[in-house]
Amino acid sequence: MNNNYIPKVVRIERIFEEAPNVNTFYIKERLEFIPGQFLEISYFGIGESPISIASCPGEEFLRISFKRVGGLTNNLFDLKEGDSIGIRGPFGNGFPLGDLDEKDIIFIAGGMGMAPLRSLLKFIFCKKQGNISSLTLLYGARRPQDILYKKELEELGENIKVLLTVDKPEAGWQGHTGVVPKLLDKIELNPLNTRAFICGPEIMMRFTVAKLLKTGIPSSDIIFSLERYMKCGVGKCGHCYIADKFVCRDGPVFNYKQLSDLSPAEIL
Amino acid sequence: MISGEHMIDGYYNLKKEDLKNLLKAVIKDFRLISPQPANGADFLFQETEDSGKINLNYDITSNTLKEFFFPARETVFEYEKRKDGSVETVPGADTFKGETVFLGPRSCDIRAVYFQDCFFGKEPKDSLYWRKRDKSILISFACNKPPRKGCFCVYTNNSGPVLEKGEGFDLQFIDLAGFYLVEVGTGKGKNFIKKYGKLFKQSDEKILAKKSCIKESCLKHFEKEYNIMDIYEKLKDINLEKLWEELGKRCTNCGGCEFICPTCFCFYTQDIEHSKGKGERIRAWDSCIFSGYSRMAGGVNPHEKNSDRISRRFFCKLYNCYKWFGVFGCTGCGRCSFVCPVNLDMESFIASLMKTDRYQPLLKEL
Amino acid sequence: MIEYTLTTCPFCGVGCNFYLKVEHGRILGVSPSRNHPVNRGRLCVKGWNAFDFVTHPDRLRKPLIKENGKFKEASWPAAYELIVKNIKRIKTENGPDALGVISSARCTNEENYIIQKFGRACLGTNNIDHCARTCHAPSVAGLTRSFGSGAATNSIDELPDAKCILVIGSNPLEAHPIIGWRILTAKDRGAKIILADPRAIGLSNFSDIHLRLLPGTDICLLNGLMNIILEKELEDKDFIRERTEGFEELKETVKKYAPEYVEKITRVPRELLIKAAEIYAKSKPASIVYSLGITEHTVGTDNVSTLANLAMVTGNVGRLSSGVNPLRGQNNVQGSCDMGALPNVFSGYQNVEDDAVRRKFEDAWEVRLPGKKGLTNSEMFEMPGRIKLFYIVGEDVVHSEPNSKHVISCLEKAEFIVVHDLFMCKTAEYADVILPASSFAEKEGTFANADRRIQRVRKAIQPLPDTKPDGEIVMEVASLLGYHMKYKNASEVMDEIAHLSPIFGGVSYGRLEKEGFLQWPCPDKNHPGTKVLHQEEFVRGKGKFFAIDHKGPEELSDDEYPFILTTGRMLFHYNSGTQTRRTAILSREFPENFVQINSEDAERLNIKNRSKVSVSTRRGALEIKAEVSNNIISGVIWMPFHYADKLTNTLTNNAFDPISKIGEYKACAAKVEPAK
Repeated sequence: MNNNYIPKVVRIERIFEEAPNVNTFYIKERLEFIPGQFLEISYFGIGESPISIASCPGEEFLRISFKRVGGLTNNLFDLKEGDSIGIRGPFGNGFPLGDLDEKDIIFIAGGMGMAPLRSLLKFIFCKKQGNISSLTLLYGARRPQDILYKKELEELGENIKVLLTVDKPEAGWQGHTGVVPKLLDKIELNPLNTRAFICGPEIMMRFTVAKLLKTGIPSSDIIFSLERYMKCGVGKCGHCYIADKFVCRDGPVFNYKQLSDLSPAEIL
Repeated sequence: MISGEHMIDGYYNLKKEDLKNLLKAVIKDFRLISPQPANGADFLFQETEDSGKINLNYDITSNTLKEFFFPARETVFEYEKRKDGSVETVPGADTFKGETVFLGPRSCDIRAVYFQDCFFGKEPKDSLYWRKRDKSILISFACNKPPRKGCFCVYTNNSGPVLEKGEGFDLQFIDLAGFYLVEVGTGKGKNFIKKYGKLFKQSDEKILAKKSCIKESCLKHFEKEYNIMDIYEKLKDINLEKLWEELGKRCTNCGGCEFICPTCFCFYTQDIEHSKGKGERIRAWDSCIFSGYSRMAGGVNPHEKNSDRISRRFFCKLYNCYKWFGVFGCTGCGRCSFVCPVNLDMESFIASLMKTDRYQPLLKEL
Repeated sequence: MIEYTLTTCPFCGVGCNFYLKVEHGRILGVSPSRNHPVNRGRLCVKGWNAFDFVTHPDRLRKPLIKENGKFKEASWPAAYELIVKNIKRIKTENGPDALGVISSARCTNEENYIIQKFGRACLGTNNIDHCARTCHAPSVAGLTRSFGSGAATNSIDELPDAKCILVIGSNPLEAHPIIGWRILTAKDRGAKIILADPRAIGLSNFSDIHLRLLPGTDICLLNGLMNIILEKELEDKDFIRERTEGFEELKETVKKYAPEYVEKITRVPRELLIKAAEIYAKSKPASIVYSLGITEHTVGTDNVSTLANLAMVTGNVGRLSSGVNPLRGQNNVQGSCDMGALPNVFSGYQNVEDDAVRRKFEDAWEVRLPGKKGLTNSEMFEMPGRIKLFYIVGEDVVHSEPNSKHVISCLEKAEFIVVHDLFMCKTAEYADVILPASSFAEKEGTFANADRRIQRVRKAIQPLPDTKPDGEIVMEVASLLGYHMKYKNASEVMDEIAHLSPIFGGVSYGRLEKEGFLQWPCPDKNHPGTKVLHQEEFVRGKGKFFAIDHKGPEELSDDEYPFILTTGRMLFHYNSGTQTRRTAILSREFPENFVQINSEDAERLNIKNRSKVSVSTRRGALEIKAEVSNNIISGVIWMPFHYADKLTNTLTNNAFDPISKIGEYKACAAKVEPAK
């Protein structure tokens, strides 16, 4: 039996400044994972933090994007290309990828929530194109410069409808202004055929979920990724558990029906 | 039942006067951990080389078996950063030396180990726990009468006074006056009997019948007022906001109940750098009662209110644990009642929950 | 093999006992001692985590000598040589009274005895003091003049049997949690709790009456209670007549403290005052529990004597579950007072100016001893340059004395400073030599807790390599100065203490092993120790009433500084935070300093919860987060003092009680505004 708490040491091949105070590490590591899973990233001497996998299975590099929010993430910003970090994982249940045929898929991302949704979006876009009925991305950030993966979003082309919004627009901004849930007003939804994947700050998810429920989308088709303080990643240390579920193991991806015996205020 | 051991049916008798010889032999062949007197009237499970120090008539120990398999602090790995940017890691050494016999824990403590076996045994298995647990033999001692006022195993789904096979013991000793009835629980237990074959005599039906008498007579000492399954149901349905508020005002977040509890499993990890570039990652006991336990970077805390954390604690022990494994997270040992500096213990909580919905401490342990 | 070593907690003055679990020389954790009489198995969150700081990587591991403003690692002999050279020089040039010794209330009794002996016999000065000055010096002075003995009158295990407990100027559930437990148990059994505190604290939820008075109005409140008691003839006439003196003057003085007047000054509604007075007088036995809210004022000693007055008026002294009980702060502050780490007494509270006493010690210590009392630490820090050499053991004076800027100027003006500590701290930064000391887990000795209980501290691990216990260091320095103290072990030190100090005459390690603890006075081998003081008669004979009038704090709020700033403790941290901020579980809870402000005041000043504000006084300013709450009354703000990076004592006032010389930490004028 291996000690599954020891990280694998990997090198950072490339660092890309995705946005002010947001970096992406490119790591050359073959890892079997599905979109929505996360890694526990170690900075030896400081500790470990859970960070979603932003790359899509099959891409050349394993990618993680993280924001400077204090604690470990501050230290990650001190690292240079060639330095080592530890990774453990992949952990979590990942997004459910079955039964997407003929469905209208809508991705709703807020801030750093775009990172795991990038993995999912690319996966569905690349692998399942043709069977899907429609793809829509609603994505919001604080300011235009905080939008992640700008180039890639531009290159997505017409097969996916992309609506961007910011809280604080600047000169030259051509997208929408306002919070992400408001973008739902700008699109037509077919509630009984839609599957929604949501990831972002809890307050944004709470309002988005509430709005989607009002449109009539079944609660089992509203899927989101919960953020919790996760340490071990394998459902042992106890920090992430909510009701009787371990977010790191039974989640972080849940559909609203699974947690419906808890009130939205309890979950989000 | 998770241990891959094959269940063996077997009952033996051990004469009381042979216990001394058994202990001496065990000390020679194994590491022996058993209850011994400590400060004043305290007892602790401790390693011993002197069988004379062992006291099996203890009321309760101030520590539990948890700290041997899941220590309060242990090294997960050591690391060293190299000049070329790489990092070398070495798994934490196994400090559990050799085959260890635990002789003297009671049913409540053994059932607690069984719970932790279920928890740390769920995939992926926790290797730090199992490399110690696999090297242990558990010899449980059933209770003929409650050892003290504060026990309540009868409320917690028969976690005492006598256990059944498959509930965690390798051997169970039942005191029948002049001798012990020894029940074999696992293959490990069977091998132990074989090893000390001279001391153990095969038992018979008549003696086996006494096992249930012991159980009955012990139960008579308890006023069995509630069944934990009723508590399970009550927690599901009723709105207990007022009770949680009250408890939230009382609890001062010392973490004691969860540090002393033999089933609690929460831990935190911490990197400690001892010298430049060299250090270790440790894991240490944590408690869900602290606000920092679930607080995330940036200050967001899904359990900001003390009353939320208290309710989470009781839900975990009396509801979730049973939902996960069919074993309750509380085995009625009653230790939380002597560590709580605000008189908020499990037995008082259960009594308050079932009787009044307002909290009334029983004040059994002062 | 896991070893379990029973020892006493290094944090507060309750003196809980627990087992340190050690395996292969590493401390794994703590197991409670279920049967220990003080805590009966309970521990607070600090106790459960008392071992974490012991092996923290920040521990000082080598002596440090300052060269050109920077600290360089040195050997012990080199460090000692420098210290001895400077002591000799400064003593010769300026006389022994230019030297000052600050002992540590965290060190053991034996170490404190050695340190005061070092000061007196080796350095030749009585300028010895320690942090009791900043907390309970008024208790020692006040209770000594009222009762004859300056320590707690009763024991904490009697509290659950009290019928009424008056808690004033104390936050027991946070600052002395296990005493808080006893108080809560009394409540759970039906006792009445009267709480006097400007803040709503944990205990408020369990109090029958909460008197939310303005800081610094305690005498007025207490005189008001006595006024009502005498008015309603609820006093204990027999007790007053047989056991006290000075009652007539007291009676005259409290006449003017009618409920209406008291309400005006303290802001406590008169109905509550009347109710509180009745409950306290009618519920017997009634106990008074108090702490720094009473002592840390320019009238600290008077506050304490007023409490003594109240207890005597109702006959609540000298019997079980009653009395006047100061909750001592540090694990061994009672002990450091007991051991004579004070400028005016030897061990056992024997006066240095008493010729017969001094001769006894001169004979025993084989040296002439200075005959005049020395300076308190407030006096040592009164004028920069007054003390030319500071020998500071285990205290961060910059952090804990009021008005840190002023303290720093005194340290900067000194010619040489020696510091013993476990970690680098603000005071150590000003030292010339820093010596790495060993912690409580690395030595043998005893502590005395709040109820005069002498308990053992046992070594669980070897001292971390290159650190030494404070007592050992001091003995080595003394030896190099020509004064040899030869003790083979801590037990021998205790034997000498017992031999020379009548109240500890019966204390020995043999008895402590057998009996577990001894409560002084314990004058001889066969005496069992004393649970309750002043039973037949007061130590001074009759209890003395002191007729005291209300006098407000030195610095009152005004238009420019409209708030009263008061300070206090939190459960999760301990004093200067040097240890608790290096403990994972504790620092995770409250990682930074903050100010508690009333919600109406906050709204008026446009301050939101968790926003940054600037708190300033005439002495300094700090930028910290605000906690907006109704737990503090309007016009008052509260700050904890555990954070060295945002030092609360840069704001407090260095005004001192003329009798006990304690600083007025609990009241000064301040202003608050949103940070820019």
